[in-house]
Amino acid sequence: MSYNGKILKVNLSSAEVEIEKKEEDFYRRYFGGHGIGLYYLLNESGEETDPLGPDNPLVFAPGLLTGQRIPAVPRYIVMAKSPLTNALGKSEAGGWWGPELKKAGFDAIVITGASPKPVYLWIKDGQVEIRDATHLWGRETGETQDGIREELDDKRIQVAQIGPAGENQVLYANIVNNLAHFNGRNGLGAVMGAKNLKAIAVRGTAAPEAENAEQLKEIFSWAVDNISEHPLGSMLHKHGTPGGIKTVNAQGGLPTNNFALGVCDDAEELASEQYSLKPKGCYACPVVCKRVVEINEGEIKVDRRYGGPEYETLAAIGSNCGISDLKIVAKANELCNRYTLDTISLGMTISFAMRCFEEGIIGTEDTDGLELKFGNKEVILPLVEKIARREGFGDLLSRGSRRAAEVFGPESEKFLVEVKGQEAPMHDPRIKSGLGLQYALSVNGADHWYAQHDPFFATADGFGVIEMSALGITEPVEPLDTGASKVRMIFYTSLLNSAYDVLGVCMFGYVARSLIPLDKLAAAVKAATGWNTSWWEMIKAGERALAMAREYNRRQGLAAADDRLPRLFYSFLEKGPFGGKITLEKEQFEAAVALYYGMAGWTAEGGVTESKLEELGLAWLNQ
Amino acid sequence: MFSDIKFILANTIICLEGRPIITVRFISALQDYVPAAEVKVKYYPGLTVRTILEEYKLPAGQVGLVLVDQKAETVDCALKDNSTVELYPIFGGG
Ligand code: SF4
Repeated sequence: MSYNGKILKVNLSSAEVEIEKKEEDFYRRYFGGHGIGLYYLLNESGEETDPLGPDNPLVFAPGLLTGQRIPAVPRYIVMAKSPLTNALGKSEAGGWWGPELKKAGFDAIVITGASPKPVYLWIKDGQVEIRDATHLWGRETGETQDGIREELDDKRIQVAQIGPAGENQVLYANIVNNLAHFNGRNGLGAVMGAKNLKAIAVRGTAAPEAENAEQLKEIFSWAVDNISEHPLGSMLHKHGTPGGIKTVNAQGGLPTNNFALGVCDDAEELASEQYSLKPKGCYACPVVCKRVVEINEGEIKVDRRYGGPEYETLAAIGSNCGISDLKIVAKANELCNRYTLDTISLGMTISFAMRCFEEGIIGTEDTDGLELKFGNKEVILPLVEKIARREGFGDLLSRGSRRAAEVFGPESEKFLVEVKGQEAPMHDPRIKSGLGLQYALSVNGADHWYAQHDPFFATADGFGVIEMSALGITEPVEPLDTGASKVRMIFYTSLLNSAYDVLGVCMFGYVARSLIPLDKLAAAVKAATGWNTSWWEMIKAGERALAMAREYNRRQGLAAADDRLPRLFYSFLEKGPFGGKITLEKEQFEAAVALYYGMAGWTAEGGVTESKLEELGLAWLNQ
Repeated sequence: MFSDIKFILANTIICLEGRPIITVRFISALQDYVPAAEVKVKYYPGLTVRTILEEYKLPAGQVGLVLVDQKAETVDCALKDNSTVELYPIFGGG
């Protein structure tokens, strides 16, 4: 079946626990992940929800397939109103926690209220307990995980938790499971902190039974047999995401010095695999692509328990701050993981402050004496500490770049690189316009997985065109194109990615980024659920979740004007092959956004048309 | 046509001194799929990057950037003698 038919509801204010039963029609409509998350957020949030107040529901929801022995489907989503963006907050993680929750008997947890004192949830095979966490408050993630496993006397317990940055409500604090898998974005760790919820510990022993377990075994064996031969899957396994640094740098799109340059002269150093150990994986995944780094030299020690810097972190804390010292970036990554800080927003907020410092907008009198020059590696680790503890200048940076700009003054605004208040990830839309559409359209602020990425669709040989021809994408489209072909590619693949999210699929296991093709995934859904289904129904489930997300944002006061890019992306890069050329025109880009609205059945104001809501079975949203 | 192409490891270049030669550099992850990070290929008119990739059984979709003498090109561009080709692995999606 692939689902338990049970949603766990916890009110932390009253310490009440309730189990809500759901039938097949609920799963067939909302599947799992953000489909289920949005169902509860829309039903249980007010219009003016305070993200850090008790009335902001916080949902943890594994995908429909999560927990099954299907390759690379370990994902679960955390959702709430984001304190960083004041819009929908959603962030996915792989690892081990999502499958464990399914095995413990629940398809989602909906948490309301706020506890008067620190607590953690303990869920074991259908049983739920709210436990005191006073002794864990203030502890780093490694200590907390060890402490919980020790006191409950089970090393196999999976812990999703916050560190001190979440407790201190840093607005880009994240949530970690197994110390190295993050619901990284949108500051959902701060929502946990505001609820005095330190962790959710889970142990389960029986996943929902698949309808056709034999077929799932065959699909799993196929992935195991093919991973080392597949051109993209094998590259991910051997080199992980850091393998991309040199390519993006040579293309002239590696964010450098707060997105000013596009080329980092010392990118080789950041791309080094010198400190990498054997990669680790997630639940039931043969790709095994998660980086592990250990450093034991001199003063800098990096503990392998906390994983290692992925591409996003290498660029955000590295090149984008003008830093190429891998040891410093790896240490900053480890500290962020001990404290639960989103490395993208952290690096981007620091790089924004560095640019303002270099321009003379702020000075050492504002920065607690720190020389915030690009490339000054001495400031990175002290800043991570100050931000996590919200001390001095770190308190201002803990609120993200947009709020920092309000304090720095209007002349700083032209250096902001954020959408809806969330700092952009490490992909420059000036070398691939589809990323601009993703950043602008994404409900939760600049997000690089709203749709698939342009390079895979750039030529007829591209894996995107080959694999997605099954969805009707049969023609290549230039990375810088902003015409109808590009908008269609982004529209279709945004529906696909949304469908991946309701299923619990990891992008690094599936096409176009990796090896498992769409027909195998459809077969897996049928085998797990027993449903007579196809990609048509799954794409519609993805579209339904996107429409619900738009409606959530509309109710929170967002509109079409929020689907915009920072003005910096309409200026030119200073270095590299695109240096000195304007590659993204505002007018054309905004026309592309409007075209996407039309294709999606959205109104000019950015909501969803009534007929589209009817078509998707969402008329209840208007009642 | 295919059989005319000679692929030679970097350390044997001396044998071909004086002849038109293409230098091909495979960057980062692509090195796992070829015998050496840099190879020399005998030039002939009409030779393209695609032909070189086919010889090494590298799918064109695995290459994200082709630089010919430091300029971005497609896999179908006709090479000139003495060119240096740099091939980078495809990347997208973080
Ligand atoms: S592909 Fe990588 S990130 Fe995705 S589930 Fe597998 S190991 Fe985890």
